[in-house]
This record gives sequence, C-alpha cells and structure tokens, in this order.
Amino acid sequence: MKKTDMIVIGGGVSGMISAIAAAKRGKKVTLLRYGLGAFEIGGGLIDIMAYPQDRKVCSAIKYSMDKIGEEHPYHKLGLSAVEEAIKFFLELSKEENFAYEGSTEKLHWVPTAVGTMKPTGLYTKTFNGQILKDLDTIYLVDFKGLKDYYAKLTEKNLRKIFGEDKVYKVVTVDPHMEDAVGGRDIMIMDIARWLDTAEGLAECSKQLKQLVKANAAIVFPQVLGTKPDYTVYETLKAQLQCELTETLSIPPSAAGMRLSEMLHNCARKYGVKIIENAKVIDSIIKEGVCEAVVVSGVGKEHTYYAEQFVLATGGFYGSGLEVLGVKKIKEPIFDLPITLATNMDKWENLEFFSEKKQPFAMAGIQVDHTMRPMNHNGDQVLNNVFVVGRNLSGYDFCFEKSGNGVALASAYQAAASSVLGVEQNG
Amino acid sequence: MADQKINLPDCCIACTACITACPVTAATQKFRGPKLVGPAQSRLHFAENDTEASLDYCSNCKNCEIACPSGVPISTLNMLARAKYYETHSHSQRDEMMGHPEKMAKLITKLPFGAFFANTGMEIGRPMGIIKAMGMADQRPLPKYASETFLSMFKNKKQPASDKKIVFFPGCVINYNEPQIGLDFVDVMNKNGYQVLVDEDFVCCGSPLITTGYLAEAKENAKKNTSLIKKWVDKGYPVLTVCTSCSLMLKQEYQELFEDEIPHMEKNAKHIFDAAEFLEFLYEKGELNENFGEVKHKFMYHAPCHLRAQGIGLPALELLSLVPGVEVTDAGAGCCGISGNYGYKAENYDRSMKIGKTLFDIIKSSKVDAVLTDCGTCRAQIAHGSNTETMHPISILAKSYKK
Repeated sequence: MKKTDMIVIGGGVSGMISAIAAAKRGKKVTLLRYGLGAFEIGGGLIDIMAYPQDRKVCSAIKYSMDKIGEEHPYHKLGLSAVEEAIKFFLELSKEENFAYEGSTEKLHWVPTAVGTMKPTGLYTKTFNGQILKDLDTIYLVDFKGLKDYYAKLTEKNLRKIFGEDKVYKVVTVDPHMEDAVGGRDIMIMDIARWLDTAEGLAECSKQLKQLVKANAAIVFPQVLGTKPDYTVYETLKAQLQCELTETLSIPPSAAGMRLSEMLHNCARKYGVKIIENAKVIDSIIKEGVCEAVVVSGVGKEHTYYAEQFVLATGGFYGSGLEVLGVKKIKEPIFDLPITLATNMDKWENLEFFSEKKQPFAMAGIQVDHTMRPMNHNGDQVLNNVFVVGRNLSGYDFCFEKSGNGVALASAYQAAASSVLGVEQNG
Repeated sequence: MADQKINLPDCCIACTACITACPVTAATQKFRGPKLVGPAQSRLHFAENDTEASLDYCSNCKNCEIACPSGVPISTLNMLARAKYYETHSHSQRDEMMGHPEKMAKLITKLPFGAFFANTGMEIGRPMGIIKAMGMADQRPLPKYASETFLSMFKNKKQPASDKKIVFFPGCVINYNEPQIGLDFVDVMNKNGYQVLVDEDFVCCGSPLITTGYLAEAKENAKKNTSLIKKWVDKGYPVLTVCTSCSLMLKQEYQELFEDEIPHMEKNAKHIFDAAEFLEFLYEKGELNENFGEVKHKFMYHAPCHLRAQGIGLPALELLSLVPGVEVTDAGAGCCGISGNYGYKAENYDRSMKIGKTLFDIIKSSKVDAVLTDCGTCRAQIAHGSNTETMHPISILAKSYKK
C-alpha cells in the first residue's frame, strides 16, 4: 500500500499546526479530522500561561518556568522550544496578512463580554485592553437584537476596573436583521458576517459616525468580521478615528472562525491533504512501530499508512481521552499509557472556582522532550508517534490559561522531531 | 456504527461548530440553525403536536455532521422530524413531483419522444408561468431528459468479458439525464480490467424522497435495493455509483434511518463504493491502469458535500492529478447551494444562489475550461450560477484512457 510521510490525527489547533509545520518542511502530510476542533468554542486567541500555580501568582511563562512542575509539557519542551514555536506562529500569521502579536514575556489583557479583564498570550490587534486604560472616553457598542450581550453590564464592570473618571457611553447600532423576527436569535457570528459584507460595514460605520466622537476607545462585541484579515477593524478605526477593541464572548467565537480559516488557508497552501469526517478508531502496530491507522469511515473502514503519526485528538471534550470511570482513562487509538496527576489522592476538586488546578484535568499522556509517548518507567512507547495538545498530561489548560499555547508549542515540536527522526533513521 | 446510531441527540455538547458550518444559517436569519433544530428540537417533540416550521430550511447538505465532533447525525434527525410531520400533514403537488424524480422520468421515457416533449414542455411552460405556479424555481433550467436512458444504451454497449466484475448502481441522474457519464464509467472500468454489470431492478436510492418527507416510500426503496445489493455482495461483486448522494444514501443514510428495520445494510455498506473511491483504492494497491493519455485542460474541482461527508477525502481529485496535462485546483468553497431538489423549489431559489455565491465567484475569476464534480445537481447548479461548463471527473478519465 502507498504510504505518506506523516498522518496527523485531529484537526484542532494542535493538529493543524503540526500538519502545517511538517508540510512547510517538505513533508507529505495527510490530516484526518472528525469535526471542526475547538476553534468555535475555544476562541481565536493563543493563551500561553497566566496562572502557573494558583490564583495568587499571575505571570507570563518566561518568568514562571520554575513554578509549573516537571510534569508540565512546557517543562518537557523547555522555554526555547516554546519561543521557537511562537516565532513560527507569528511569522505564519504575518505571511497570511493576519498578524498576531505577543510573546512569552508579557501577558496581554483583553476585556470580556461582561466587562472583566482576562490575560492572554498571542492575540490579534482587534483585542486591545490597553486602550481602556489610555483613553478617557469609552464607548460600548451594542447591536439591536443581539442576544446574550449586555453592553450596560460590560460598562458597569469596566467602571469598577478603569474608574469613574472616564466617560462611558453605550451606543446601539441597528443591523436591520428583520429576518430574525420569528427566526433565529441574532448571534455575534451573524453581526460579524454582516460586517464581512461591504454594505454591512458601510452601514455600521455610518451609524457609528453619528454616535461617537473621535479619539475615544470603542468596545465591540466579538463582531469585527469572520475572515482572517483586518478589513473590518482597519476600516472602522480609520473612519471613526478611534481605537477599537473586541471582547471575549460565548461560542460560537468569531475570532475562532478567523483562526480556523487562517490555518486552513495555510494547510491548503502547503499541500496538507485533509480528510474530513474521518474518525480514527484503531492503529496497526508492529514491533513498536506504528504502520497505519484505521478510520471507521462511512459504511466501511479505511486504512491509512504513513512513516510518522501525530496524535492530536484532544482531551475529554474531543474524545481523545475517554473516561471509563474515576481515575480510569483510555486513549482509544494507540491505547497509550495514561498518566494521572502526581500525588493525586483526589480525582476532582469540588470547589467550582477553586484556587487549585483540577486533578482530573492533569490526566493525559506523558511524553519526552521530542513529544514521543512514554510509559510509567519513562521509556519510549512508540518511536514514530508524537502526542500533542490536550492529549498530554501534566497541565490544566483551563486553570492556567495555557490551552492553545501548549497546543502550539507541542505541535511545533512534534513536527520538528518527526523531521529530525526521519533524518536520523535515514 | 455504534456511534452513528440515530438516537444520539444527547451526544450534542452544544459546542456550536455546526452553526458556523451550516450554509443555510449563513444565508438566512429565518433558520434557527442545526443545533437548535436538530438535537435540541428532537428532545422536545414529545411536547409539541406540530413540527418546528423552520425544519423546511434544512437542506440535508450534511455540513453540520461534518463539523460535529460528537458524531450527532444532525441533518438526519431533521429528516426524521420532517417525515414525522408528513405523517399527519399532506404534501403539496410540487413536493409530490420533486420527491419522485424516478416516477416522473419513468412516465416520460415510456412515451414515444417523451423526453423531447417533456424538455420542450418545460421550456414552453417557463414563460407561461406554469413552472412558477407549481412552486418550482423558474429562474433556473430544470434537468433535461436524455433521449435514451442509460439502461437502454448499456444494452448495446460492448465490453470485454472479465472474471473481475463490479455492479453499477446508475441512479436517476445518470439513467435519465446524463447517460453518457454512465458509459464513460463503463469505459474506465473496462480499462482497469473490470466488466460492468447493471441490475435493472435497482430503484431510486431514496434521497429525494427523504428530503421531501416520504420516509415510508424511501424505506420500500431501501428494502428493495438492499436485498438486490446483498445478492451481488454474496457473489463477491462490489457495487459502485458515480453519484455521491446515491452512495451516501446506500452506505450510511439507510443505516441511520432504518436501523434494525432492514437486514444486511451494514454488511452491504462495506462493499459499496463511490467510483473514484474504488479507483483510488486500486491506485493505492498499485493496481490502477495508469496509461493515461494527455488531456490538456484547466479545471476546477468542486467537492460535493455528500462526498465530504463520506470520510474518504476527495478521491476524484487524487485521480485527476495522475492525468498528464490536467491542471486542476480544488475550489474549496463549500456548498454550492443546490442540495438535490432544495434549490429547485421556488421559495429556496434565492437562498440557494446566495449559498453558492462564494463558489461561483471563485469559478468565474478562475477562467477554467470546465468545473468537475461528482454530483449531478451540483453540476446543474454550478453551470447555472457560474455560466461554466461542468463535467463528471470520470469523463475526464475516460477521455484520457482513449488517448
């Protein structure tokens, strides 16, 4: 049977990045995906690290490597590998004319839909909390009929953070979505798609010009387009002569749609072959080497052969890890050994807004610095399989705010290791 | 099939991926969207006597299912709800026609010069407002009937005999509208050492019946086709189609819709192939006849949604890349907007064209010689929306083998 160089299992952030990084280095890559990944639910920003230990310390990864523990994927990778991955991503986004910014050194704070501030790592310039500090007038834009967004609430909470000395004003734009009456509630995605159109953008700008004065900060829901470009942002910024920021919001995330499309465009450009609706259910392993993976397929199974494999199927949510019972977890494709959190006497931490990481969230697959899976004795399990993203053990992405950062750094390392691995073997 | 059973609305974790992927949701605010109409609504049917009206907006294109990370058969849930509604409500005359393209075609092709008169009649009926009055979109041409059916032409087709045999499921579009594609398929299979058999007892796969809510009739078709396919599978012959909606229906939708009601569906499905899927499989095993002659053309390829839902990638695109001279790019622009009979309904026409606009624009600006796609109604929609010639990829392979 014909073989490809690399098969990536999973089409979320980590899967897409490892596929692109390997393809960019000349590998023939096939990506098997089942569903759209967590772009729409996880959003479009790359959180790297904000809370390395508990809620008391909020720090960028560069200054918290000593606090994260030896089990953490970042510890395995080392700071320089994390930085290299970030450099790769920033350059990639620049090539796509949708440049992200950020670094391992500094947290970037962005406003949320309810007017709180959240730290992130890599971001598009449409998310800019700094302007709320810098400027004296803050407009909060609402859209007529928009569901689940309350600009008054956003204002109320921003006042608590940025003080009463500033001028706050809610302004409302009418998107003229008459079809929504008796139909679907207007979501952020709908407004963002309206602004994707030239007519929608012109109309929104026209209305806002009547409502806002220049040199102010304008807070939008996450509506500045669904496409990976800055057309909506640049146009409104220039026409209104104001600084703009979007807020983080509930799914579906427009920023997630932008990131998804940007990565798809890259994958296409570098010749990654994407097979949709392909659920991998099994692997064919001979003498410690994976030869192929099996897709359940529609009606019949399909077997895909490759030299190298990347496992990027996610955690509990993406069914990359299946929970069979308390402390019983299975990785269904390769049946890789699962590592639970060190000294895990408890499975969960019952406090909802806890000060500590959740033990169950730390469970996953343990890897070495190349991202090859290891057993409990620290020996490599499969030489040509690499594990990335939420499949990994040793971190609580939700608590730490490190999800996409670990996905990016581990994915980039897996691609680099696989290229090196082939060179070593050959 | 364990995770593809139909009773899975509770597997929905409300991640909203389907909402972002649904082309109808993008085109109209009137549609409540796949998440609400599919899994959410299906939990509440017990509470309502009547079915959610916005079910009518779902085109069964399956993009929600392709997007779903949890394996919820969202659009199939919609089709079942639609069928339930029609258990207590009557169909319009328009739906009666559109749900039964095979019945219509049989009536017409039985008459002497029936295809000619039907085609002429459609053209005369258009300016007279008859098409529109029947609830069909009069802005687009209706599919033309061929003067001779594929089955009739196949009888006169000479093939080299071979021990290697496959059974062809032509489907309505090939049999009644585009028989030449069927003949091209036979040529391609012959070139690969296969003799093609056709079972004249096959009936419409049922796809148009399902989307118009005729579930009971579709089940009769499913029963008939399934028992015929079983007969061939028992002989060891694979069953191939060149229509991706037929193959999706035979392989998967039968099992989702009629699970435990019709025997042998699951086993059959293992032996049902899209033609390009089968040929790609030969290629991977090193058994494909690669004596392709040069075909110097610039093409764009459009992947039908019902192919993308099959989890086999884009096999026709892989095969086309083997043909010398062929320059082919994947449009990658998503749904064309037609979804079988959906875009032929008067009330759906504008929405259907809006959905396809991204694709049409890409095609128009590409200046390709033709657009290649495996689905009959996609071909009609693309020809209409982008004013570009459309062909089935198998015809290019047939042409290449002849050189």
